Amino acid sequence: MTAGKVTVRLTVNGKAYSREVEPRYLLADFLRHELHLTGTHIGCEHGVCGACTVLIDGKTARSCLQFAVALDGAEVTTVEGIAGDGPLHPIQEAFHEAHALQCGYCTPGFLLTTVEFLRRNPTPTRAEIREALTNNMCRCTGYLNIIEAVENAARRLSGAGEVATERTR
Amino acid sequence: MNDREDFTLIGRTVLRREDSYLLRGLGQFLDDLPEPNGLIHIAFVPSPYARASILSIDASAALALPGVIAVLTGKDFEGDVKTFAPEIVIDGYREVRRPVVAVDRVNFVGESVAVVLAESPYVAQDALELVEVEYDPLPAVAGIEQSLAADAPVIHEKLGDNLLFKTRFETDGFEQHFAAADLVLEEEFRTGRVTGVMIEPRGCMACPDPVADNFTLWTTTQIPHIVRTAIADHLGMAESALRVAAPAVGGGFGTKAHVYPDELIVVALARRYRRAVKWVQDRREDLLTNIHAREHVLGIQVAVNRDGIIGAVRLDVRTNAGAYPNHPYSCTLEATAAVRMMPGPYKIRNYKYDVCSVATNTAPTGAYRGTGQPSAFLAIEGMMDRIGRKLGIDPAEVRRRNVVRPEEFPYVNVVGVRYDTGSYLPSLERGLEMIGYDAFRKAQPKDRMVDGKYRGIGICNYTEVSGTGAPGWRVRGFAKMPGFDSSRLVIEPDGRITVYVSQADAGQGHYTTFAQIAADRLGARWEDVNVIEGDTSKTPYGTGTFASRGSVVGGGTIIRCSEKVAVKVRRIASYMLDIDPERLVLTKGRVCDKDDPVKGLSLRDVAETAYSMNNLGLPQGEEHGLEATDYYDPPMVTMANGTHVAQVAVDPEDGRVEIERYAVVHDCGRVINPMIVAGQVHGATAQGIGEALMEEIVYDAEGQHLNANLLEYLLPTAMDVPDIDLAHIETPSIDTVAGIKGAAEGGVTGALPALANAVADALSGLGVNITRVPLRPSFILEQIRKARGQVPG
Amino acid sequence: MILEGEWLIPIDRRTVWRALNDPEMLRVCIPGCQSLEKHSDTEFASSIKAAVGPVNATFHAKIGLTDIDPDRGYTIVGEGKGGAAGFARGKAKVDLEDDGEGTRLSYRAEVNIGGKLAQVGSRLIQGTARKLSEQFFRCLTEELSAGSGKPTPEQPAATAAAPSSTNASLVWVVAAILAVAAIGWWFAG
Repeated sequence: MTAGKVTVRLTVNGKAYSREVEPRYLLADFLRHELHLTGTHIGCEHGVCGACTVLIDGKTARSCLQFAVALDGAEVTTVEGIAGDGPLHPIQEAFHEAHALQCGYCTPGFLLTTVEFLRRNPTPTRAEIREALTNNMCRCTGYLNIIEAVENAARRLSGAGEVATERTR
Repeated sequence: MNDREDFTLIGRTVLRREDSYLLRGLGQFLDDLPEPNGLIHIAFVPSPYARASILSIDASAALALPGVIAVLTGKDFEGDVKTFAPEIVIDGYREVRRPVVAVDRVNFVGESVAVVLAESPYVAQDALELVEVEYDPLPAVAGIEQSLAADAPVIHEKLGDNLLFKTRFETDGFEQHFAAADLVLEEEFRTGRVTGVMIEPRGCMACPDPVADNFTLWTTTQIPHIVRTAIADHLGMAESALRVAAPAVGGGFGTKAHVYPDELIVVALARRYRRAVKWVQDRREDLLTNIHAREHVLGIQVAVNRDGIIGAVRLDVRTNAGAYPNHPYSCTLEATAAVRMMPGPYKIRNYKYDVCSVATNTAPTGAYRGTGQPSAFLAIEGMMDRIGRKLGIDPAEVRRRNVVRPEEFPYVNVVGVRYDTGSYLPSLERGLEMIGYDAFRKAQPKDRMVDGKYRGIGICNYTEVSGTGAPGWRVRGFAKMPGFDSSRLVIEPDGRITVYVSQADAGQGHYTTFAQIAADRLGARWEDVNVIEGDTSKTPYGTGTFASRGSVVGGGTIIRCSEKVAVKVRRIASYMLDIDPERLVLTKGRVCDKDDPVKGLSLRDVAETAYSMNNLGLPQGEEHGLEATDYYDPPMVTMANGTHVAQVAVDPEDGRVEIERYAVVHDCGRVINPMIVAGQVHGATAQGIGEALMEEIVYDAEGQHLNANLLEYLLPTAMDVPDIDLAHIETPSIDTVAGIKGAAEGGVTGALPALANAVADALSGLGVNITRVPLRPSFILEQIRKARGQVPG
Repeated sequence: MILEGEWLIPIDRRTVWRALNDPEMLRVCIPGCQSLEKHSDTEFASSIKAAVGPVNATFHAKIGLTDIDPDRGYTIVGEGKGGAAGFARGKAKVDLEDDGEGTRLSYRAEVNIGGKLAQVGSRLIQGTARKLSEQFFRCLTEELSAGSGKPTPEQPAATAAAPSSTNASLVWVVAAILAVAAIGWWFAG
């Protein structure tokens, strides 16, 4: 029923890991159970709710639909990796200030979706933000504060860029 | 007490302290908790049949799998766990008890027929597939009408029929008043079956402590104390030997405010195997077996005069209880909620209702955000529009003529519920103004068609039951619902504060708002108040967090408790300063003379005296310590209110409803933290939008559940929730502590009828009559085509 | 749910009828069919394996035939159980008509599905059932054509008269199960 274990090497949040796992082990379980990175949450296990969203080589992916073995060599970013041990990332700050989370269970997925989205589209319209967020479900907030947080984060991230430029001058 | 000008932190937006760890992915949800050694993982074998006899269960293949510890059936629990039921004392209630695992008979799809115990969750899932159960399928009933049919199979044979609860009410001289009105309008409304769908599914883990000889149950609950009492009762345990604790809980919405069989099972197994036992449900189990809600059929007759004033209302409500009563509300909750809430903000003095709950072969129903109220307001608010259409009076004007006016408070409604204060009329007017109601109506063509779409506007003027106290629960039959909540507040030796509350947060922000409240009353910084809740071993007993009670009852008890401690603080400070305690005030972390603030002490100075950390000693008769405990039983209910006004466009090409504009006026009395209140309104409104336009659990006629997944049980996404224009009116209660009213559910209650009415208005030119939710595109399209005389297809 | 459709098979009606009553032919052409046993003239049992993704569910189906009208059609009543994956039961009315040189086969099946199949797959079952039926008919056509113009060798008269067919019906009922299993694999965890 279960084949033998397979070695998986992954870089997660900048750190290299190697683990022996069953081939059917999902990335979400790998992160949560093998690496004890429990910020990646499981909400539906069929790729709809987006709570388990992580970045694989910089692109959002559902960790509940990916086998860890299939990702050998990949670079994964989870919610724990957004700010690391440092101060909150501007996106996280924006979520805090806009009250964009209540229970916080879906939040890691939203944050990673936003990280990728704002990298792709640093100055989005409200409509584009709504569209980008449709892949993640939140049951508490009604989304409006999340949309606002993403708007603010976009402003802040581009603003931060300006400040940096000034400083280098 | 309620017109206090002295609030410093209550009423202010304070950003949440819980965010910092949640944003880093450090929240400790149930499945994130460290796992004890020797943990047993369990999984439930679900019935694929809605009703069947269990002929045999063959677990040999499952048991042969390495890592499988045992496979247990219902009979294995019979000596261990009593059959499951809450204590309900109300006329017309017939008790049915539920085995925690089915014995001989299954009554709904998803009901557990066996439990697999394994060393890992993967093995438990593998083993599930190997348990061979042989069933003899029996005829099943899924719908209310089917269940009540004369030839319907009887689900619980000893009852003789499928009626689980039935009650009625009638005011004096009802028939006379009803007959005296100018005309009678009649309609039958229906709400779909929905459920909370918290993004975190449920789960629980029971851990034995062999040294203390007791157990800790970690569970995703909103009601830890009620869970503890229920488990102790059903397992024959001492309550003192069980600690029930909620970790971070990923949304509750009432769905997690029930006691579930799995919670009893993990504790029973931990006791039997002397090992920790854990269960985490998946999304399919959530949609199949967690408590469902609504599914009301509401027949309403309104006797009305030509001026639009309602003379009398007759309401006939039937609700689908599912296969078993839920714990702790049984099958009476949705039934009594709907009929008792229907009068809402309107002066209905002559009222008659008949209500029943019927058993069907579907998942048990119970509490979900709004309980009964969205259905009740779908009916009464739907009738307001019909009265307007029938009599040629603007529907907003019909509401104006019937609503309880500001000068009429306090007002006792027809079923005896006291509305102490409210802003029913101002709220309505404000909502209409915000959406530009008059201009919209003036411009609206008779056929409602503007730029290729049918455009309409809908109103819901609602009341919201909150903070229900013991009398409010008793009147509805809940014999063991405490109603009160409690707190213990301690000023620690360093002058900082710990408050222990009998509530259980599931995202509402208690760790911030309760700190604000205590800090406000003690003149401290909110950052210096630590809030502890959701754990029966730490807090005094209480009811928990549901039915919009957190702020009213949790907040109320913290205010009372803080004030009790403040009295002692002043007494000790008076002794230390030699100033009359009446002259002392607590402000900015100090206790000082109200007229001469320089004369004062820090809270820490007072605490050091209280904890004997200096040589001052205590005044004669004073005990050490600086704390108090408070139990607060609030009024029967506290009524919040508000108005939703929605403008929609219905696309005749595809039947989609687009919400073009949305206004909410919200009055929850004294606001503690406006940001949090707005968040509650947004979230509840989104759930109301879901329930009005897309969400529905579908059973076929044989009781098969057809959409236990999130591809087909549709939740609103960021594209479905429009920008909401939100206004607050603050009309403090005169009955509750500090005038607080609840805020969590009105969004659902307001949104569902407002949207149904808006769609009905948009399609009124076509003659389409909207009487049900959800209003999914396929349904709308069908209605439009029928109305236009087109062949559906 | 109702599944219906029709197929134009470029083979004469009598040959098609025989093929539909030839257990071996059916075994070959029903996707995933492992065994097909005749228990009586009108009762059959079959095992069908759905090897889709990590789910290896075996469905056990019982089939009965009624309203047999040789060369023209029959009604198949069937029930398939897939253990944890759920069950399907239903009946299918199958009619054969001449259409030029070939045969027009039309079917109308009423299928009830239950358990996991219903919960996770009812939305997708129509499409997948259609796809599996297509596979079946394509296979049937190929097999018959490959028989070098005389597709079905004479069969014992008894069989022809009281077809031991399995059933095309099996196809509809079981195809439904297979279809859902195919979609449902990723729900299975």
